[in-house]
Amino acid sequence: MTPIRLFCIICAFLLASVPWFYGLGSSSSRGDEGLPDWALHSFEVMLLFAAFIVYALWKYWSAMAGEDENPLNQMPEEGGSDQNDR
Amino acid sequence: MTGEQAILDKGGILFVGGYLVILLGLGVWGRLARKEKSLSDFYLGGRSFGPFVLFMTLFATQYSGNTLIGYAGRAYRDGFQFLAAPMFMMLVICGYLLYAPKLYRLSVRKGYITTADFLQDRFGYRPLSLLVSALGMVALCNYILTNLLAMGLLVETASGGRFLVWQGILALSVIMVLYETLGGMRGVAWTDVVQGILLLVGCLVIFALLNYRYNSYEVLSIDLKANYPSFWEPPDWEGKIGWLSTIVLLGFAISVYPHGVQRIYAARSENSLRRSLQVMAFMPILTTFFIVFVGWMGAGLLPGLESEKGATDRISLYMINLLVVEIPQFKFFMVVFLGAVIAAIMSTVDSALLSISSSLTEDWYRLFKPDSSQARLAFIGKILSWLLMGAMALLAIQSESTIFRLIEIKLELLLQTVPAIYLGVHTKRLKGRSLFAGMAVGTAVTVAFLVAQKLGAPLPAKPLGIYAGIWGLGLNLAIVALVEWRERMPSKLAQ
Repeated sequence: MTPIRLFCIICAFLLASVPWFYGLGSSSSRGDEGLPDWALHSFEVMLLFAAFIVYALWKYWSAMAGEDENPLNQMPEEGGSDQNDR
Repeated sequence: MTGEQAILDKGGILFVGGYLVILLGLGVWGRLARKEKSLSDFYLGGRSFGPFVLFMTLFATQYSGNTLIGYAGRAYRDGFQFLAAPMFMMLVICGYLLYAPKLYRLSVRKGYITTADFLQDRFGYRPLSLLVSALGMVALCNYILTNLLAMGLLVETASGGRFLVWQGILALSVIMVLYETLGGMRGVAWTDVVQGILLLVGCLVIFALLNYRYNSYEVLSIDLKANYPSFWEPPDWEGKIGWLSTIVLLGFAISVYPHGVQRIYAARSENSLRRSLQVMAFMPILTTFFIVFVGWMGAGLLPGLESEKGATDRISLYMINLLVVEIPQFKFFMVVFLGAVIAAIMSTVDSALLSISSSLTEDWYRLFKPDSSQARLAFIGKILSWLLMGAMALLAIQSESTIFRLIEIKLELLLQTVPAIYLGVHTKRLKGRSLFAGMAVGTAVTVAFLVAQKLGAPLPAKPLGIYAGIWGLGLNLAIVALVEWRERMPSKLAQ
């Protein structure tokens, strides 16, 4: 998983959360939650998004970190910069 | 709550007073736990936070008083369209996922204190890091001012006028700056634990009590539908674009809040950071959605408040009051909720104050005094905290000043720093100069648009339903691409 691909998936969730395909006049309610269908749609996408975030944090953390930046793989720079002393 | 019984009676004042004493105690405890006199120890708690403290401090910091008060009011006015709110809070966590893993590893190796430290190290271009630092400080000043003002109004309202706005602002400001300068980030994070628990309990309590007392299905589908039938209609195209625009603006801008970035640096380990973010992913549902729900219930049970100035923004307090009137035994929960609002505001203000103080010390003071010792820098940081809090408290009390109005534009500005941080983490190929050019142009366009509008120019508030800051971001990215392309052209031609 690359950052760009993950970014695209996140954008897909954002787009899906907006009720694009519900036109004016579609104010019916299918469930007993007291919400109209289009709001229920957004609510369901929101729950899926939360589950995806938890999964993505577990699965793609290392991919987002990039192995080259792992401090365990790198020796401290000799002499160090002034920032290393903080 | 005008004309009604004060929420803070003697028992309530004792509860809030006890809470404030605990905060001061935690500040002292933070001071005793100090390991060294250094910027890292003072501003990042020695990079020692485990998953629980890290989660609580992230939670308490990102959910301000605006969450409990402002979001409910907005939900009251906008209806189901404000379902955008939990989504943008989730996008904040996604934003962290996109850049925090790599930024954390870099910070361990390089010892960053502020966001500007990272950009300076990555690109070595001082104008870029200073611009990011300045934009972050402007945004945080706004955050502090609006929250201080909300805090003063809340104290006056809740005490039934026994304490005035300025007294509330002054007293709580002194307490905040005291525990902050005593314990630094450690003190702030530990107080965030208490504040986060109160905040979470406050949200859960009001949601649970409303569902216990009323049938939410009936209130939403019968009362709300009768009071505001337009809420049941899906938004038109402009409304839908505005919905997406709100998610993008708030989600990405909040994800680069300077005090949020510093909490990434403050993690004890990668696992601590990852676990705390995993729990954070559910907080928009348990906090933001619950409060939005309270706003909808309020519109169903107490319609017609929009005609009274500022009344919709107090809907969560009205709802608690309604519960107490119907079931007097719930009085204690009302005090708890009030404590939660005060806690949410204080946890936001103290973190923002600490972050501005660190930026001033690390990014600006150190630039002119590079040979200052760590102990000297930490001391300067504390002095700056007192001066800053004094200035902010005065400005908040004089809230009608022009400065206050001008810096209302905050998230639009912060959004312009997103490309530098997100792209800077993942690629070294970009030049600091191109990122600076994009950020400067994006900021200038956004500010020009918003200032012109405030001065009365005939401009739409959101052109095509999109915030000015997002137009600025688009231009920002276009300029970055253009400058990069121009810089690479000669080398490509030479090949």
